[in-house]
Amino acid sequence: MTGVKAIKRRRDVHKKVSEKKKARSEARKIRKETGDPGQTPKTIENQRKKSETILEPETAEQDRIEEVERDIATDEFSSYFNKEYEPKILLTSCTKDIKKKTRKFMIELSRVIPNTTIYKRRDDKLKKIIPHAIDDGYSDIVVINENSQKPNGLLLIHLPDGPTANFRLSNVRTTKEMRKDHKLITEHRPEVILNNFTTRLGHSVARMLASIFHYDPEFKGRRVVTFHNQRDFIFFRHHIYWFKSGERCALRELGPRFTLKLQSLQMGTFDTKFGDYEWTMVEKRKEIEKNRRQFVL
Amino acid sequence: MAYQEDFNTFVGGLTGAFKGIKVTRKGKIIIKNLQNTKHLSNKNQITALNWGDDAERDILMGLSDQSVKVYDTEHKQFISSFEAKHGKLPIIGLAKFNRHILAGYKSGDVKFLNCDNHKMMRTEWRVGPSLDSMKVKKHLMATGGEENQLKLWDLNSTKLIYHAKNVKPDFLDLKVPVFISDIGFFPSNDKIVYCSKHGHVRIHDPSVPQKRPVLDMSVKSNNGDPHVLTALAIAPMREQHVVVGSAAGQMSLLDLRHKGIPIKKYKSFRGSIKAIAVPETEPIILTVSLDRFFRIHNMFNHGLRYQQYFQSRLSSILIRSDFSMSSKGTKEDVEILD
Repeated sequence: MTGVKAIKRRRDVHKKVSEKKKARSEARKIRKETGDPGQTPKTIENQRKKSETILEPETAEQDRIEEVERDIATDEFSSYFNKEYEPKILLTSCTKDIKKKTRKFMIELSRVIPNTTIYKRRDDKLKKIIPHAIDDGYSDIVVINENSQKPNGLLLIHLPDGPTANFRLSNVRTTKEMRKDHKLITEHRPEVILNNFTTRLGHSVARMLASIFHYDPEFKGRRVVTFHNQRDFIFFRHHIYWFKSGERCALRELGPRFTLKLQSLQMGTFDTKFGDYEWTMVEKRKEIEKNRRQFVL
Repeated sequence: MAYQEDFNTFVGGLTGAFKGIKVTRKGKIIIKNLQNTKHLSNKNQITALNWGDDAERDILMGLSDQSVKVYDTEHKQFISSFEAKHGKLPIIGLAKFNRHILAGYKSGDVKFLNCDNHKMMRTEWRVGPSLDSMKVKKHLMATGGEENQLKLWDLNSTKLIYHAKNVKPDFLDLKVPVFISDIGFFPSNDKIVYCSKHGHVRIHDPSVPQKRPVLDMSVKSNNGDPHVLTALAIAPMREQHVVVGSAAGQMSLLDLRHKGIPIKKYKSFRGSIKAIAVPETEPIILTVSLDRFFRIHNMFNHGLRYQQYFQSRLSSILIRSDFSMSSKGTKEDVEILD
């Protein structure tokens, strides 16, 4: 008796499933005929929890927007965006003995960022390098950190009085690893694209990253540097483009490529002991990453 | 409506933004810009904020370009502004003493501003190599800073009446560094508490012959690193409790009985805590931080009560001594304010 019941039940289930499938295919047919796009799929991007620091010009109060504008207009990078100085970068490493991959990466970075000097690190403290760099007219210091013989951190210090941003560096691929030729990289100043930095913190970080490149790109070189923010990871890509015919344009990637993730933004120059953090992940990682639909940049 | 029932909290920012806030129990919080947003600039940051009189009508505001502004909370306007040039470093503390305004500079100098009669012994003097905190209670002034031990001054005679002694050297016989970042007077007794950037919270008692602290504790992270304490507030309701905040956005409640232990930690900070205020009657903690947020935490119950994005990096907070969340004014008054 039980066998017959089971067969019956199975048949019923099969019937239901096939009916469902039929209904679905019919609905799809109708949708195709009418040109209805259907429901939009839920993604983390469109389900993002809105940050309080994003002020929409339509809804937010006028004086709040004005205050943000005044804050941005008078921050540490205002003199760069007013074209008062040309960026001059000091590129160095965390220690004096760095391995091949980090050294190669530093050389490649110096090809991308114009007006960069690679400083061979000795046993000197970063806190002591900073005043000398200010005297020598440098506008920023980039420090590449190495761990397990690979570059894993990028520290960006704006001179003369901050801020300092600490990024985790991952997925570093040099030109050679990408099977590209570094000779394609010309010495022209590149264009810079900053993508998808929406929050107030994102604006600060974007301004900081923009200010290490020259404000006046040489379009003749057709080189583009992109910082694309997606879910708090900043993807760095380096391309060359050329026009084919009329509206068509070709793109070719040059090296290197890497990913950055913000760890902290500190007011003032590098000071791990008493530094005042504007934003930090110290002891807050779980709290910040608790909601996977909430982003900080 | 009397001015005391108007805004009960004032906040100053590093863009020079100055805001009045009315905190009410029902969660409706009214915020108003008291400084015109057109004049904001990161070049004139508010570095000191204090009451200008005992009735809590005037607010003194010290800016990083060494000018002092006075705001009248009754007429809701700035009534005066004057330069207080002294050296190059900013003003870090302002206080009213008798008819004079007392300003403390980061360079380690203290100066009476606008004193016409020279009856006083001296109008400016040096309190140490660097000054990071200056607090005044009646005729007493406490000062401290980087490698500048806690000192207590009598403002009537401008004499040093108490000079704290550093704690004993550590087990390696090395000097324990001093970096006082914030000072607080206990309201009911003579004791003084300070926090340091090396993570120490110490209580000194000037009424006893002992010059070393009567209580010495340190606030540490889970991995053993000391917190860089930047702000401190005494809970007036329970005097054995002190709230401290750090430069990496950690805030904890300390119990000072016995040897002193952290009894509670507060979450949701992202940046350095610049100033903390605890009202006398309500069990809440008001904080401003560099992450541009103003927050209200419940002192004992779990959780954040309220937070608001304030667009500027915030540096200072001032609350009325009769701070109360229950609004005395009628409903209409609140709406007019809004």
